[in-house]
Amino acid sequence: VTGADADQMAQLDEVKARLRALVAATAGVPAEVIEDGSSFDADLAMDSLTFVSLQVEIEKTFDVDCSLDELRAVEPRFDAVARLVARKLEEEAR
Amino acid sequence: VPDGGQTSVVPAARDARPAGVRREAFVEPFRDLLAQVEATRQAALYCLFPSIEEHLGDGWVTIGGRRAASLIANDYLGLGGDAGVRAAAAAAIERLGASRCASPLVGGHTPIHAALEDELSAFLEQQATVTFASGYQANVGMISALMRPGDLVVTDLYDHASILDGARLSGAEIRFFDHNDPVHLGRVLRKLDGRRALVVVEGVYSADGDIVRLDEICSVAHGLGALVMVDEAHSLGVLGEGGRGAAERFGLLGEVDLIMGTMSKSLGSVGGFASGDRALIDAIRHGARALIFSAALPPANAAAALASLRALREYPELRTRLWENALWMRDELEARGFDTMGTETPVVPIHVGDPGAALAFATALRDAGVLVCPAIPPMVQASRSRVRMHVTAAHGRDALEHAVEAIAVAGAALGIGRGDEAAGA
Repeated sequence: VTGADADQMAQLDEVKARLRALVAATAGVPAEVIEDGSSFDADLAMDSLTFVSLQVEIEKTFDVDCSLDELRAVEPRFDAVARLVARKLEEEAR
Repeated sequence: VPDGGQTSVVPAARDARPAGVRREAFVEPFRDLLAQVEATRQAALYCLFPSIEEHLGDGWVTIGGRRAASLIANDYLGLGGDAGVRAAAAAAIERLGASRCASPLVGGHTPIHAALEDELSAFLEQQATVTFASGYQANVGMISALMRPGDLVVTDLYDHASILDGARLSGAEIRFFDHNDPVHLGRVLRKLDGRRALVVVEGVYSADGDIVRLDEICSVAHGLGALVMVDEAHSLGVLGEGGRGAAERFGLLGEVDLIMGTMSKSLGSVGGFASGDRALIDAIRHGARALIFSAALPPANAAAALASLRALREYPELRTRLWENALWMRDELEARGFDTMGTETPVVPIHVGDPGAALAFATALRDAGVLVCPAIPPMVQASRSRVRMHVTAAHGRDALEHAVEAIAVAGAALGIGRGDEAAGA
């Protein structure tokens, strides 16, 4: 594991912590039930409006550009969205 | 010649269909929705498509043969049942028939439509107006006519479905900004890259009854080169010194680029309209497919809207009464421990927080002689499920008092409002 890899992992963990709180508040579920493999539709019962709200909250909280189309393009799973947000943060930092 | 139903044209055998045709496949996408509908029917909680039998006046209607206080109509100034408005509609039918049975492009337009368009333009201080057969068609028609693939439509998170549908139909990229948040709007518009952009907001948001921050939103959008369209469906006749809507309230009638409105709320009729600069409206008039490929607004509805518009201008006391009723209702509900979700207008929600409980609340109220709108997904997020009421100038105090009492009783029985707090929720 290189230093850069370790930095990336630390950043992904931080993204997950903030995203977990965000998903919990938006979907109205306790943060503890949200796992890496939690599916937004099957496990968290997110309706379409909640999903759009989450997209807006992601943009505001992380200060990144992340359209609904980009969010829909990844698997609707907690870890997949966390990786998308981490990648967006990296792109914005460049 | 109709034979009074003596000869049936409906095939008797339902299974006599061509081999390989599977109608079930077309119902499949609705499986979850229809299962929910069936479950509410089984639980005797189904309260959608209520069938109103009679308009009694003063906020009362007949449903299921019983008298009920109605808080489900958007008739803010109470003009839908007004004698003068009804007479205007009847006179239009006598003169022009029940419908012109034609698109406005080729025969559906009448002098009544022309007068309505001219008077709306003058009232809203705009150069031109075009009327549509419904508010839904106005939003879909305006946005899909003006915007193209490669453009950007930016909508508030709580914008009405018709705005989103118009944006989808246009093929433009759609971006959402957080509800009533000009700072986030600025972020979304930052990457405009010279593209044409239209920001669409509502004067009053029908979900929570809050008012658009139009001054800040206009400033951000115009500063970044985007046009601003305001849907005044729930604000026309309600906001502003003269009842001209959110644009008047903020002193921006000359600033907003497009005004959309409906005739099915304060104008006591049905239909929609677009107002703005002559060139933009002419483009919409000739390019909006929702206008030219639809039969026109019937003359009676145009006449009713015109009579209502004149009443709106002449009788500001209607608006005074509307606000007295709305504030009374909100204060009475809050005093009884109900969460009215920060409403600032005659749209009065009560937060419930669960779709099933919202349906149960609405059904219990219906059974107690009070009609309210349950708002559940896909209208709102599940966790923001609520019942919603529209208070109007027509409501007599007896109708509102009856409603408040019934809401208190049903709320206590279902653990909504003060009962909810007592339970420690």
